[in-house]
Amino acid sequence: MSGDESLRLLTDEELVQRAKRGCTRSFGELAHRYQVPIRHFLQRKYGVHQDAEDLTQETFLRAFKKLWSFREGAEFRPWIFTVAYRVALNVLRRRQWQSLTEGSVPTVQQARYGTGMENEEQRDRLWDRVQSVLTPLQFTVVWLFYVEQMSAREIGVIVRKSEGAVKTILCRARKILLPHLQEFTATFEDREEQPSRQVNNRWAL
Amino acid sequence: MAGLLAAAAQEERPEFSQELHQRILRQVARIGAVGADRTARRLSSRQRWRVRLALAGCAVAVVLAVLAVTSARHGGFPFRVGPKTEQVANRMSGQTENPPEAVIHGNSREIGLFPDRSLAVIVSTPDRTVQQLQTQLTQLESGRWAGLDRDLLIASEMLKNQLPLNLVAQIRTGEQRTP
Repeated sequence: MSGDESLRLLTDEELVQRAKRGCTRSFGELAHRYQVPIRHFLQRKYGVHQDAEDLTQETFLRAFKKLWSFREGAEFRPWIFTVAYRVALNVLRRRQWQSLTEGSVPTVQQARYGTGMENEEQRDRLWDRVQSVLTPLQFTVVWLFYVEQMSAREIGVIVRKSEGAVKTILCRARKILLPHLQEFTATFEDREEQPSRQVNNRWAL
Repeated sequence: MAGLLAAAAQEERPEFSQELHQRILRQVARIGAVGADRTARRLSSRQRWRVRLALAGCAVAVVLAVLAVTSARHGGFPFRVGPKTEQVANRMSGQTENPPEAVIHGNSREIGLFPDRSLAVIVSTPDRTVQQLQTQLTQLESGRWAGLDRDLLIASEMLKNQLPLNLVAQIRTGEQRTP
């Protein structure tokens, strides 16, 4: 069994402990495991492919620098998403500031949805619709809950809210999303007939 | 809703990027050396804290030693316990002060509820004060001329005894008596 294969058998927390002791290969394994979810999350938050890659890199570098602050016994997945969320917030603020001062940098909404035809095409997609009707916080909570399958407690750690507050945000987001998602249900059923049966059963709230 | 959202997210899920992974690994390897330095610095800072704690402990020990020496020299705690502190201490220990003595004045008659001892003390206070003042004045007077006035007085007495002043006086009185 090679070194990389043995690393794959370890849990996230064990890899973190090894990385804290200076094993960069262990951190590489963590980056391997979480590159796609983090990039997916950031890409959805920003809608710009290249930016999402840079932000993913920034997230992992910051995580590596702050690895010493990772508490023993904590879970790595909420922690790395917290770092990504903070990185995303910082970049958003920076962009907003630049757009205010320079005027040439695209605003957050422009960066997220694009302009013109691109906007129209993107709005046809489900998550674009979700993103357009929810606030950024609601979107983050919904994404982490439904896509990353995180608990309300874990999401609360990431967005710095209580568990109850996260549940309230989720409930409100569901109410907002419900009418908007009705039209997507039929499309979804047409596209995936048999395999989607189980999914469509779960669609009922 | 859960299935719909999850499936839609799965559709647009990005592929794993080997290029991005290599970039991250390169950056991590570059930062790794700096991180090791930082760890070393953190350890040294811990040692600095230990030194600070040791110094603080030494300072406390010196203060305690000074207090112990001072109390040994003065035969007690170096800080004087004031009357208020004593009162508080008495109150805390349950000892109560004597209640104030009540005096009811009616016409020129005094209905005294205080004991005679207190009355005697009050009555004798002016006399005692005058006596003390006289004593102090006498002491001042005696010490004023460093005893020279007393010597002068003795010398004048001696001179008076030596001189035949009585004889002169008798002669003069005899002359007067002589018609």
